[in-house]
Amino acid sequence: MTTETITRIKLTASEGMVLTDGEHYGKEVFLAVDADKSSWHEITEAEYEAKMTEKERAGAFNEADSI
Amino acid sequence: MALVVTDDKHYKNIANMIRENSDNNVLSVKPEQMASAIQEVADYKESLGLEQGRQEGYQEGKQAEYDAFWDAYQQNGNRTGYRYSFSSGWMPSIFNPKYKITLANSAYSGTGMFFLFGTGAGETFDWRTVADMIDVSGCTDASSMFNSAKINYIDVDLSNATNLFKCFTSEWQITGCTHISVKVSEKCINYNSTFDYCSELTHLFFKEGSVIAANMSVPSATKLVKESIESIIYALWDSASGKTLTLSLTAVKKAFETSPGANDGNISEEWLSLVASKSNWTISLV
Repeated sequence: MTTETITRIKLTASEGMVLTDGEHYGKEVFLAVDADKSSWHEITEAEYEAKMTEKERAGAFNEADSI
Repeated sequence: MALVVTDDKHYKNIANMIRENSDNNVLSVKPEQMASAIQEVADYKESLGLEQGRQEGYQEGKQAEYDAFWDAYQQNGNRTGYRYSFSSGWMPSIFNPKYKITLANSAYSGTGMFFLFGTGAGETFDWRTVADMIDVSGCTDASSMFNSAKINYIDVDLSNATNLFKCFTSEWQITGCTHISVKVSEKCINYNSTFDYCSELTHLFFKEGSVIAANMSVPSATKLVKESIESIIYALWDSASGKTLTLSLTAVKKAFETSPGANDGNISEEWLSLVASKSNWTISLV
């Protein structure tokens, strides 16, 4: 039997901020053991909302999506 | 007037026939009334026959219409590609396939299959009423399969699908789906917007044997119950690398709270232990 202690880094966004690595977003992020912490940075909640709105517009259903 | 001698039992028989077959509760019939009474019985019987014939003809006509439509629409049971086949305009009241729906193992066989199904209907369609009639397991592209469909208790095997783009999204935010049970496999490489706008989703279960091998995001599902969150995490592929699961912080806080109303689930031992079980995944709460 072997015992390992695995350390996971948890990032927590500051008040009013959201963490992102450019693709994913979170208030709390439990990094995978092999993840690069430096790829995550904070943006404001307003910026986050703007990005979600932009994503929503970009992803609006277009029947051509499926062709 | 000539007198006729006869046995009165014949008159009794005629009178009984009239009483039994009349529609106006005739109690007694005099001989001079019998001719007209018999005509009334005949007329009444004819009307009954006509009505019965009308009903039977109507039912036969409906059946013939049903057969003609579904034989054509499902190619006499041979159809295996149902791309957008039950999309916009399809209502639960007319969704009554004659043949079992089985999707081919080919591209687009299930794309948009139920897109906007049932919108405008009074109640959300219960998938369980037709589950035995539909087999989507052969589908390789399930993009938008249930996009904005007003269907609840979805239970499907999508383990052959490589693409679940917008599969269960409530893009038009009208569905109110609360229960989804799905099987997926490592074949799927696209979970983009699969569960967007699923704000009413409480139960999202990944069926036994499911493997999630690509980035997945379910942040809009703020009402997910604990068992659902556990189901998602248990399905995360142990051999994945560089992958991220995004969940609702609100959902985790509630689902794993240490006591009723504490809303502290995100710092509970139970949640932290669950996260620790998939250390190869980045798990984000937003």
